[in-house]
Amino acid sequence: MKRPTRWPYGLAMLVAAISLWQALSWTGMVAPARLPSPISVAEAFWELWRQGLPPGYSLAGHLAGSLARIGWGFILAAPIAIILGFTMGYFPLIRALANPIIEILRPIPPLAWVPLSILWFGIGNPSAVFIIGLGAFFPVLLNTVAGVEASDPRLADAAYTMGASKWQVMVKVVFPQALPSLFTGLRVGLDIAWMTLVAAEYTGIKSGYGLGYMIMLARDLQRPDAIVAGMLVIGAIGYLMDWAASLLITYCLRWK
Amino acid sequence: MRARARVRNMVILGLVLSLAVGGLAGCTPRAGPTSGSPVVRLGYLQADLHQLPAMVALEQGFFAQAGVDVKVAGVFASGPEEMSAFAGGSLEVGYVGLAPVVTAAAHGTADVVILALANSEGSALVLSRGSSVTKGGDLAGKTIAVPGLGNVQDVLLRKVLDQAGLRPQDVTTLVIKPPEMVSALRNKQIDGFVAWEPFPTQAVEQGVGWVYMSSHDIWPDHPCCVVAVSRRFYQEHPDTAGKILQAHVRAINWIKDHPDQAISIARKYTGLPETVIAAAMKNIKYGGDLRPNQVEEYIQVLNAAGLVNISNPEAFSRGLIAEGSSLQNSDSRQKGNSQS
Repeated sequence: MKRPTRWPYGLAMLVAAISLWQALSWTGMVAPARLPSPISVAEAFWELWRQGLPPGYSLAGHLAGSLARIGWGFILAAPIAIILGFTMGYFPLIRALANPIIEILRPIPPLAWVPLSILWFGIGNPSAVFIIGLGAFFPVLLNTVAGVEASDPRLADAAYTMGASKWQVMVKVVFPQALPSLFTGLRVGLDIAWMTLVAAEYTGIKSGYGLGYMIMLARDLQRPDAIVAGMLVIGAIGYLMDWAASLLITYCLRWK
Repeated sequence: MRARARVRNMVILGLVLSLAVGGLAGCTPRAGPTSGSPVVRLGYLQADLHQLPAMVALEQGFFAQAGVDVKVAGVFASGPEEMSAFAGGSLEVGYVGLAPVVTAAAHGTADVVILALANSEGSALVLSRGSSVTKGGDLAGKTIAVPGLGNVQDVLLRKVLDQAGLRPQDVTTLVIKPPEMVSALRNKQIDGFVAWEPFPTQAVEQGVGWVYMSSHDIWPDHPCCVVAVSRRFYQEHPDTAGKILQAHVRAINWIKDHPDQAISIARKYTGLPETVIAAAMKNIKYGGDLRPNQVEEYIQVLNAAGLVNISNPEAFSRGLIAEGSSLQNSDSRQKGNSQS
């Protein structure tokens, strides 16, 4: 059965929301100082793209800087989270030992880590990567643990009866079963990592390139139009990344 | 059936959305009272020694004695936040840096006029201890932190570079917040910073840096913090604005006459050690008159950097300063003296 095509509705809603926003701006019901109109945001976007903020630092550069930072944070955090998650899922004692510490650290918002992060890693990229990594770490960890825990013990037992070693069971029986949950963790981790971007780049960026850093500068200069343009770029890129991740996951799990 | 449910859902979603937007539209600034003596909501910046006149006027009851009912509505971490509070109609008067006032006016986010100068000077370019810089040209290739793009300290750095024949891109300029600057300097992550007091004094006291140029060396008598009032309030209550100015000038004179007591008030409001406050206060000039050509000079640097685009800096500067504020300033200065 073919699923009904629904995206035109979403697109229509988006267009309607933007039109309503513009209409409210035109009538003066929403003061430009409170929320800039879509047209002025579009103009700011164009200015950021062509000229940059500060002048010479273009939006493309800010985007590249942020993507690189996200990449590093994710690449450094995800393997640690997967290995730890696998260990915790497989060995109940380790899970019991680690759980309280993890549950206390997990709800702390990345922004709260900024001062400590600057003390430990200094200003700039290492701090930013640490903050981003923190954002990615916990979703990957928890979903890996959940995936391993949910694996069917009967399959493992069956493999043992057929003479499989502990290692073979872990790699060939438990790991594939944990994969869907692990992938979900990676996808959520990427989302959260991207959401920590602004907090991460508040630690100061030496290269001068970063979307969060750009938003901070726009705030200094009191450019709400540029702030909103930067926010929407973060939103759109986050959406694209999530979409790409979901496609990739579907592809990787096509054997299921 | 399903199609109808879908339509219904869309309608509900649309309703929710328009309610949300309507709510946002509903919070436009309220009109202030036009007669009587209104409650005046005041804002100032956290732990900023430049704004000692605000702390003194509050602590000594100068506002009340001038006949103004002042309530502290917000202590802000940064100038742009305070300007947002102005834009949102939550403040009538605020002690705030000249920079956020100018950028807010330039980008139409908050409409305020400057009633008086709170202080001039009071910043410094600090370099790390053991730095090899002996002349301006040596700054090339260094990493220098400033608290914000286009703020007074950023302008001071641009002036230093200009005086040394360097271009802004000859140094790496990094925006970090002043509390992070001293430790960044200690860890050699930056070669220097430009910040307001007490951060230069702290860097010197902790032995991590030295003052390469004070803001007096860079731009003598440059304006820094100001007393801003919302334009609407200024137009509707010029008398109250005059009384605020009177209390402000009285506080400035009081600081000059009672430096030790001023230090303990500063300690109470900022939590800084008295030695730091005393040393820092030597670099801050309280009060004085704000001249439009100083604002103009500041705008020209921002214009040249492409950070604002103000076509007529002269008219813009005149429009930003409350009419006759300097005249009233010197008038009430005498009054302030006789009262204290």
